Amino acid sequence: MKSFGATKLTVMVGALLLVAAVGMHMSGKQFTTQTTSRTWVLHTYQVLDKIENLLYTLRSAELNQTKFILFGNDGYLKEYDRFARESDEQIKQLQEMVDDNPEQVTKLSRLQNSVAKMLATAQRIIAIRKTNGIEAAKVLLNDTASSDKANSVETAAKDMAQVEQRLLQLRLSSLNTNTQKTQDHINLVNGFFVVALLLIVWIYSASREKAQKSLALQHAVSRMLNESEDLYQAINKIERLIVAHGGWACASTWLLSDNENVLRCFDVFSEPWLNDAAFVEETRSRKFVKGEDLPGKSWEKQQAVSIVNLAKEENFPRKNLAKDCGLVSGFAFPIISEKNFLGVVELFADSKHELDQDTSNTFESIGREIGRLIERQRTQMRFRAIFNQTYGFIGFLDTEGNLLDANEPALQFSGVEAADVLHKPFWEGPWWAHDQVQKERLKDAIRRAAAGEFIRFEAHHPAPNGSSIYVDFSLKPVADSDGEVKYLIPEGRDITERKEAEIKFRAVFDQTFGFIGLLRPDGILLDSNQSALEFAGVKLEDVVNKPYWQTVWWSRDPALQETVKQAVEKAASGEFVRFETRNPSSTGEMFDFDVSIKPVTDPSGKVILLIPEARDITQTKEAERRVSEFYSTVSHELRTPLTSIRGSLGLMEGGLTGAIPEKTLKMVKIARSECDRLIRLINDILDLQKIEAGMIELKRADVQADHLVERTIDGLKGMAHTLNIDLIAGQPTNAVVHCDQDRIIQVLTNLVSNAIKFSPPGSDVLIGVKQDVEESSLKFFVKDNGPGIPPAQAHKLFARFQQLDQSDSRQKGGTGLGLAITKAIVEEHHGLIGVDSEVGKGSTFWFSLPAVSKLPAVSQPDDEVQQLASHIHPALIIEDDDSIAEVLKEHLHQDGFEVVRASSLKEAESLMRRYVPLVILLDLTLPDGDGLDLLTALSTDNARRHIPVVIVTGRDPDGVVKCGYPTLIDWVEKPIDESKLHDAFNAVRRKIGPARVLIVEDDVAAREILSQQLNSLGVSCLEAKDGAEAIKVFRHSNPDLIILDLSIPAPDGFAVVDILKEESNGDKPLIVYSAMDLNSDQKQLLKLGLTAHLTKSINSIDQVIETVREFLDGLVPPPPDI
Amino acid sequence: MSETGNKSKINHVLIVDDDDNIRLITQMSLEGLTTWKVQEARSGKEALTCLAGELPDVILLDVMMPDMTGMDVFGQAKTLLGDNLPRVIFMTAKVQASEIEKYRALGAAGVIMKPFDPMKLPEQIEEAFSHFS
Repeated sequence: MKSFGATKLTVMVGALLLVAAVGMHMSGKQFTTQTTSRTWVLHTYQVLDKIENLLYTLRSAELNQTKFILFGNDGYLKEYDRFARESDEQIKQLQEMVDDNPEQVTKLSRLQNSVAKMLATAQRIIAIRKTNGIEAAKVLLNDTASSDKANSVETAAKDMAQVEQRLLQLRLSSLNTNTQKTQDHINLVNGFFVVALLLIVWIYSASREKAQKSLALQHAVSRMLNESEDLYQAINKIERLIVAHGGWACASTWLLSDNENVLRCFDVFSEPWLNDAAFVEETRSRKFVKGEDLPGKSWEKQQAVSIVNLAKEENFPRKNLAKDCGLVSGFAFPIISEKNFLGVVELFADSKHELDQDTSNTFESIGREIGRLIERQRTQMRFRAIFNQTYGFIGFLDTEGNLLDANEPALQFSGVEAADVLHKPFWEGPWWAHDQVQKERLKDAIRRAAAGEFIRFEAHHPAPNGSSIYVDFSLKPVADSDGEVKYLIPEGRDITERKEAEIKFRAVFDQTFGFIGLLRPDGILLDSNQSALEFAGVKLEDVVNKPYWQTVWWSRDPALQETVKQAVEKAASGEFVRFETRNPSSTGEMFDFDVSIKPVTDPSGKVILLIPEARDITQTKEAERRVSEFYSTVSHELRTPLTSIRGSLGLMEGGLTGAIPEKTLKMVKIARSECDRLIRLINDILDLQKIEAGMIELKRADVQADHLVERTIDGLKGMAHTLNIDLIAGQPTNAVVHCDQDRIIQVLTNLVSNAIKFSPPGSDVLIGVKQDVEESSLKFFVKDNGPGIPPAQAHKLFARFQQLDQSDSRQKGGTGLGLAITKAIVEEHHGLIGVDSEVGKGSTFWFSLPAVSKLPAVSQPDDEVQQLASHIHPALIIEDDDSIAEVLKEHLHQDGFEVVRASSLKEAESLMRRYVPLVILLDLTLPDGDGLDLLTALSTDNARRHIPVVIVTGRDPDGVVKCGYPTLIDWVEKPIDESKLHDAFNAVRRKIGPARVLIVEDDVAAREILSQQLNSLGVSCLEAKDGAEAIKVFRHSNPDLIILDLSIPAPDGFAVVDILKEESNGDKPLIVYSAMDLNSDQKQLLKLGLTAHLTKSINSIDQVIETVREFLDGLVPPPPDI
Repeated sequence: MSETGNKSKINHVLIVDDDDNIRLITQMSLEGLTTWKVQEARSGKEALTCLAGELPDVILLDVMMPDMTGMDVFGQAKTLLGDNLPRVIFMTAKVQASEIEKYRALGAAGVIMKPFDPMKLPEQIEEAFSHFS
């Protein structure tokens, strides 16, 4: 590609001219005329040479331009630039050379014009190649190739050259004329000079011709490669070209077969006279391995090889056939792309063709270009295949949005030809014609994509058949290595099927009566159906991407938010959660909801989505309330007349209305007894209704199972005795069951009384408990020796009003609801109930209950603490003087205490049996004893020793101090100083000093350090290692301040604060001291009374102590002065 | 404690019920089985009038009455009499045994469920009375 030949040529000509010049000089001054003529001849040659050089330079520039267009390699562009600059220089030199000849000056300016035009065009195409890519540039390139712009340069140049040729002839003949007239020695010199000149002309022409030919061939090949879309066509044309230009008889191309590792003949072109030769025939059908024959040799060496004499070549299997058709020499050069060997072109000539290095280089260069073409073709083919065969719609845009390419599916979909849509704005295409809005959206998308953004949206397009399709449309920017966006790739995937399914689903989802949503496992709302949005009067964007519990449906009630949050967390752990809520709607109306949150798992069982669902059950609830009210009313309305009937009969039977005849008494007794049955029936119906409606609240506690059995037996002893039945308790088990004791005794009583009723006198009824093997449940059983129950009837037993023999009911006095109630109670306890029986062998009724609760310890503190926590405790004034009591009462009221008054110790004791007062205001001098005695009594009573006491007395306080009552707060002398009283009340709120600080911290060391520091402050410390203990201690001891770590064993710090909030009016001073960095929301949650949030890594222990001191205010001594 | 409150024996009972029959039966039961003085009121209003005079030891108070319910009477009597309020035993046809606790918590001495056994009524009253003392 380099102007290797041309450079060599210039050097040669230059050397000869030098020889000529020396010759001229030697000829001396006396030959001035001759010399002048010779100078002119030389000048003319120089001009001719310059013109040729210029043309060569321009062709080289053009060649490099073409290569750049085709391959986009910047190296070509640099070469082009160099040649373009060189051409400019050469024109300037020409101008200097011909400025004495007006004719040539005019011609030169025409040439200069043409050159400028030609270069301008080239620049323009190069610019288009850079911005719009190869295809656009190729179109232009072909346009200009066919135009005469390039030719006009040649014409202008030839025009100039002709003038110089004419001059040369004139000057040469003039030189010859002069030569004849000169002396001999001069002739000699002149002869030498002429020979030199002729030599120059010859060499010049020969090498010029060769270089020209080689350049022209390369140029032609480049063009061919450019013009041909099809590989076969391109190669065939190249073969023709080479044969035509290089005087070859035959050219064949061999390509490396993909999987065989052999060269196969791809195409042969030969001169017509060779067409039928067996050689050509053989060539077409041959394949060669590496090193075999001429192509194999070129393959092996990866370079051009020639066989000057085919007849003498050993490695040439087609030798004889070649000889037959007169082929003499051969030449082969490899087709190489980026060092990959792809094939060989071989050439044969019917004459001796010796090839020099230059030609070999030229052909190797052509081989590389063919290689690049093949590689490009293959890549394109693969790309095309993908592009066209892909299921989706793909195109190719420039950054302006012009469609450079579109794949077959996209074209077929709209039934258009590529030509109809290519090189036009994409949005003008048939795909977007139907919808102006979508068109604008696309334009905007193209602008944004051209700026580097990846765009994706859903679009819909009309299909030719009248329907429309939904497309998942994307626009991808393609940037060069500098990050500059060069192209955009629009892509569309037909998602109609999915979309239609989605629309159908969406319709159901949105229009369904219930409220449905979709959450991420972390509770972020992804979607909500229309019903739910309409209920709350919001749009999807108002709620989406927020934590579910913070959405409008729950935000009106913080307690509900917490419930929902916990439910989400539970569901995220894979549990199905269901609960009922009552929330206000956007209009403030109250609604009842049945809420559930379902986890959705992937095949591996991981929770990937949560589906919250809420059903409006306001009407159901309303109906339930009405039913409940109805039952209540019916109950009242039935019982009122029954009260009179039962009362009248009772009075008559009891003889209060006077003596009545025996027969009448018998009737009265029947009426009274049936009346009682009616009353029981009403009670049972109401009971059953309540249980089944879930309206009874089970008061569950851990109870000894044996205890339940004992109590049942105790209750029925009398009845059993009357009927002569022995009640026997089974083996004790020590098992504990979590249940509502009264209700389970009701169940047992029912079963046992049935057993008594149906057992023959003198028999036993066995009542016992059995633990099952896994100890997960307890089975209570009642075994009788009654008549037994036929299996077919057993299932009827637990239904309402089902007594096996109707006559039984009257005889045994039942209501027919006993077992139904029993079953309802057991089921409410999540238990099972059943009967095992055989006719004639008695029956065993049984029910099972889950053994022991797995509830966290917090929810079941010991009885004492629970009692303390669950009652409202008024302040107790123990004061015999009414007016002083009134004053104290007034003050306590002002400070927000409820008040109970006792005027004697005895009354106070009686009151305290029922209430645990929040504080006691105690007079010491009381009608029935000394107040200090009460204090002493209290201090030995564990349940009451913590009650703060304020003594209000006229007596000397000495004795008070001695009694050592732990929670004595203060004493207030009579007459009462109001401010002192208030101080005492304030102290009550804080509960007596030394101030007590509860340290909740699971780390022993941290707890100890805090505790030591606080002790040195004169504060007494309570310690808890986890949330459950913290709450227990809190309830027991009511500390003055809490230092709380957050990451403690369950319940964690947040939960502890929540529980304390409810239990302590939320006014307890709190220092949160944890490693967690809290955000403002969390801080808001972690707030009781005075609250500080300290972080372990930031705040030192000293700061904690300082905060404690600050919060406890007067309760701790001030820091010592230094 | 007031004089009335300290009494450990029942001498005087006020029956408050809008139902004539029930009042009659209650009266007959108490008069037939005890020596207590039995006073009757047909409404809450009448009951409050009665309480302005000689105070009974026990008030048997029906819950469901027109105009003033038993609870209303209880509240007003408490305001009126303060610590001198006699023991109040509610009589109701509406509630179940399990709800007795609620009435107790409000300060009632007891609850007697209707229908009641007239032969056992005095016993029930005495039990409630002593339980509270």
